[in-house]
Amino acid sequence: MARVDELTLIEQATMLAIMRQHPNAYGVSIRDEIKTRTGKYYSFGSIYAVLERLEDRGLIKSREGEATAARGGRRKLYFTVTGSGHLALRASLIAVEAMREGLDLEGAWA
Amino acid sequence: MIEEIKNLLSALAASPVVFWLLGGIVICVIGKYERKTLDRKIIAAYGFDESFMSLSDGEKLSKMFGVIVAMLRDLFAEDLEEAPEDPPRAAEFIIGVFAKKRYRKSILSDLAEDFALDIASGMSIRRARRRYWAAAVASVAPQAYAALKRIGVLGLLLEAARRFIGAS
Repeated sequence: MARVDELTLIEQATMLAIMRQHPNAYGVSIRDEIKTRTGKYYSFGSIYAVLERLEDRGLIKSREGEATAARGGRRKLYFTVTGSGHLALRASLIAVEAMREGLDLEGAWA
Repeated sequence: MIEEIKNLLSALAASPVVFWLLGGIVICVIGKYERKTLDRKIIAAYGFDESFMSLSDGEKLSKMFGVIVAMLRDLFAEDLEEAPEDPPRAAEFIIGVFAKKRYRKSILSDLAEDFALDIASGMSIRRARRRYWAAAVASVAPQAYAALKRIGVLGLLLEAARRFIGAS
């Protein structure tokens, strides 16, 4: 069986945000998606550190988009999840699900 | 902005101020250069009067730092006076120096978009600028801290200078 990349929680969240925002996934939209769904706020420095790791591992890829006046004439950098990224994310989520299966988390800490 | 900073740094590097501050002491110690000659260069470059020669070393340093501070103040004053609706240039400069080159432009443009949205939402420019500063510092702080732990303060400064020069 081929080795599949393991993903941290923030890496999972970032890849899921990219998929949800596709084809409009860039720094701001990724950060906002994570904030909206998890309530966690990450700085752009943190977001791009994760994006760099994922891109270096070939799990996502980037392309430059259009420049807009709202961004001071600068271009957006769009991200998409690659095929190996999909595989890694799926394997990672399945692993979490397998660990969670059968546990009654409702009131587990009560 | 980056161009202005580079021009300023170039001017400083080429000026007797930095020469005097960094190299002058060493040169004087090994006796190959008269301190008075250095002072004359400074006087000529900055239009100080002859009384500069009679100042103590501390007073000379203070006077020269005053020039540098005034230059920086003028540079950043432009920021507030000419284009208050633009993101703070000094914060952009910090991002430019400390953020990784690969995503530097993206971080700057993402911050600019947030800033524009803040202004468009009716937020005061002062508050929007404060938020920009906070976001800029938060964005580079982890990298700066990690680098500080890894290579120390001097190494961090050298690394920042290397990146800055490499970005040109």
